[in-house]
Amino acid sequence: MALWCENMSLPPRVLVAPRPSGANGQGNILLLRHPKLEEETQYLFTDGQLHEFNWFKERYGSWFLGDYVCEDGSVYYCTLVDPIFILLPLFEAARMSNGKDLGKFRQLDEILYIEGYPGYQ
Amino acid sequence: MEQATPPAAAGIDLSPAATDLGRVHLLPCGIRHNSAAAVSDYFKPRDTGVEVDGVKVEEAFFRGRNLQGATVALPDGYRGSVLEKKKNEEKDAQGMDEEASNFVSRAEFQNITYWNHDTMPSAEDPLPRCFHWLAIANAMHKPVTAEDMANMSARQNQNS
Repeated sequence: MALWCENMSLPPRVLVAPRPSGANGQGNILLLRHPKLEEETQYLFTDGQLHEFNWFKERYGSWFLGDYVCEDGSVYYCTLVDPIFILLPLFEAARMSNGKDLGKFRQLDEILYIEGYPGYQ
Repeated sequence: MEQATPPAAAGIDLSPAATDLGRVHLLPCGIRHNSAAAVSDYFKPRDTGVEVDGVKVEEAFFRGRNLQGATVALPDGYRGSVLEKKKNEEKDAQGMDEEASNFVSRAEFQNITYWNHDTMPSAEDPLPRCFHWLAIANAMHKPVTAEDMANMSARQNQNS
């Protein structure tokens, strides 16, 4: 029988993600503002690169994971995202331009300090 | 160099220490159950010999229903993981952020077999189509290297 699933307190989740280049697969989940939706969105920072989470789920679906049955048939998948997409709206807002005024130069750490989003640091 | 992480940071550990799962099946029905089960003893897929658009069709039965399926390999550079959400007890004890979610990879897989109930598998099925994005995202978002730039400008010079 499957040993990997022993003592699992919560149902597992299925994730497809880029294979880490080194032995250390530790990644951080960052809460950043989605560039279009402007909502809090989770991103994965690992291997020196930023990834976004996508979610695939069909109306009915369940998993057979080896010798394990998992009710939730959805799959999360992580794909690269160019940080410029995330940062451009911040830079745009940070200029504080209005009308004919082209805006100001500001310090980087000031630009990246967003209320409620420690993830940018 | 180790990067300092804030104490409440959420994380995912995808270190390749986990078990290889062998086969992973996505079934076209809901099963209200989460636990170990003798799947490989009772769920026996077999090749039908039929091929649709280069997709090899497999056949299996679940509760007397005939399922038709196909296996999709994850694109190069990707890996599938089964994650367990870790409760962070030390943090809870200190009354700190309990929201922080930490996931650890328990097992891995390299391909997924998805099963259709009424239709033959084809390249137009939702799962293979969804996996197109994995390749597209890489093309769109991968950092451009100096080499890429050199190749590009060389090609442009040729055309002009």
